[in-house]
Amino acid sequence: MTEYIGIPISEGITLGSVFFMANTEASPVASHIDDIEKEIHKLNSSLDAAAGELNELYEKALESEGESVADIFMIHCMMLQDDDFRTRMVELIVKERCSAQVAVLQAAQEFSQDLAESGSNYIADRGVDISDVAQRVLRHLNGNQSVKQPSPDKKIILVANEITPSMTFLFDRSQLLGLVCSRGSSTNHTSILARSLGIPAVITPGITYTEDDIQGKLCIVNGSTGAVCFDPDIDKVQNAEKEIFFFKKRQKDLRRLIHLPAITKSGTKVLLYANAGSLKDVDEALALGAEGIGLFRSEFLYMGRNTLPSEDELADVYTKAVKKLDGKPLVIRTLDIGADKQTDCIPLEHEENPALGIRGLRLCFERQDLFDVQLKAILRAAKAGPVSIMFPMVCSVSEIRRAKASVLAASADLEKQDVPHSNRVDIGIMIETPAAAIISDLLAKEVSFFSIGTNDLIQFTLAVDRQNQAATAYCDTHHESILRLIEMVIRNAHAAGVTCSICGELGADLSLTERLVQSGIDKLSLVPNRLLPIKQKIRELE
Amino acid sequence: MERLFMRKFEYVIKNDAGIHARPAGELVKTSSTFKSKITLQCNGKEADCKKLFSILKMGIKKGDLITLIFDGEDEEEAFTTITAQIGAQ
Repeated sequence: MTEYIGIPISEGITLGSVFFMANTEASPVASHIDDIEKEIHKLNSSLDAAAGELNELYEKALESEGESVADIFMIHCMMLQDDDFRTRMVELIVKERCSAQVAVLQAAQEFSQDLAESGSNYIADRGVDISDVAQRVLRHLNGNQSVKQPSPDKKIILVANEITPSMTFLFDRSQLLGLVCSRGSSTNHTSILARSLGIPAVITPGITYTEDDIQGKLCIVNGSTGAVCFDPDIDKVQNAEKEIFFFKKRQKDLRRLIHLPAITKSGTKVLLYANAGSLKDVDEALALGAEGIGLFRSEFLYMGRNTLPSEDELADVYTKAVKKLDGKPLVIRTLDIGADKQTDCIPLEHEENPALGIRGLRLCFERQDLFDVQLKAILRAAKAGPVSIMFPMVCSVSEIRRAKASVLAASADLEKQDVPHSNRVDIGIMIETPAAAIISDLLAKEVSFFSIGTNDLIQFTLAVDRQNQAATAYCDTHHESILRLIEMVIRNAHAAGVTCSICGELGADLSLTERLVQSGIDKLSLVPNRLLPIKQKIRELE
Repeated sequence: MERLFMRKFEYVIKNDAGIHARPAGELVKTSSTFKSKITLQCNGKEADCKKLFSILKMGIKKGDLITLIFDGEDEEEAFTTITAQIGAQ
């Protein structure tokens, strides 16, 4: 029995036999060659044969899987036909007098390296496509040995050091029970595929799998914990079977709750909203029955780019979110850059302690230009449906008044320019500093809702940096001080007729749900995949 | 050397993933149907629009400003087709 703990990338648990696929079918032939012409001819005919194969795969995928999957093979084919790539392979043969096989591998490695250095994660991840293409060419160079395939009636767990797009196309996808690989990331093909098929998947970095060790062996993949077990003993197997049974049952039970309200047995209703960091999250939240978006993290529109988004671009995305929600409320948190959230398009001064520095609303005051553009975009989107504005990192009444004045100025500006917009937006704040929690009775008079950001509230209250691994032991998220602060904020909110929600991770903590509901929390805003488990918990409460 | 009236097109990338594999592939496919030389400039680097790796290596991200330069006998037609294709994304 061998067990690894890796990174879970797609939820679920499964038990089945391993189908191992090697990334290199044959090691390249010894390097020095004499007949250069012959070697180049061999290379070209293998490249053409591989390209022909890819065209067939493209057609096949187009029919069975649609354009987005088929396009992978079109890209592979274009890679093979790329002038620079082909020229480099020929050049290696001529200059180094190496075999076509060595030239293919070498050129593939160089080009992957270039992509890795491109500065874009999406493009760096395409290195796996280059190696996939190189393997295909190698197969032809080595006399087209056919790749081993599992028998078509057998369900398998696919294991490879690197799972390439072509691998998952060699057999029917319904045969796949789970995926395990040792290289990859959450944006790569393996993760996307696993999540779209709804099968568990784990990445185990640093582990090298070999055919002799694992082929055909029984394997348990737990995509929720990241555990992978080869050759499990009978106890493990029985355990896994039980877990699989309960996981499936749980999934089924949870899905029944999608359209039901989160209401306790005695009739206390809690609104369940979702946090969203992109338009895709909004779709996912709606599919899982979210009653609104309680935290729209507007930062995603600024991340990973060099130029600032324009007012039109922001208004366009916000409006799309509003339209998707079709009447359900959207709470847009204004820009919360600084501390652990940085982007190229908003350069920040170096700070000794950025978690306590110019971030959130403070940064918006420093960069009023950014703030104005965002507020105008929000007011424009508000024309399409219910929108609220929420300010992060508030500590005082004066900050709220200043931020509200900015909203009024933005509205006046739009009025003057005759741009369609709506002023019917609710204004709320995040309660994420101890200062805000302690004076929440005063702040409540200024706004129409509170949302408690527990992540920052915990780090500031307990004086524990949440990025500091060494201090993890001191980060007691259930510390009585935190719970008392939350209860106090809820009381102060209700006394002023203001609603109170939680949008931090504590809201998704099942062990606290009962206490939070008893304290009178009005609303929880959760990552979409926690909506149903929390709803189930609330419905079980008295 | 840039001619005085060379066809030029500037565009800010709106796609979340930047010019990743699929849009790059589409650009190569379309560009290859024209005789003109089509050059992509971004962040001080240059790529040949008929070469996939040349474009991918640029690592073009959302928010980047790109410039396309069309030069050759069918540059007008290339300009119209490619700008329409990019604008539609």
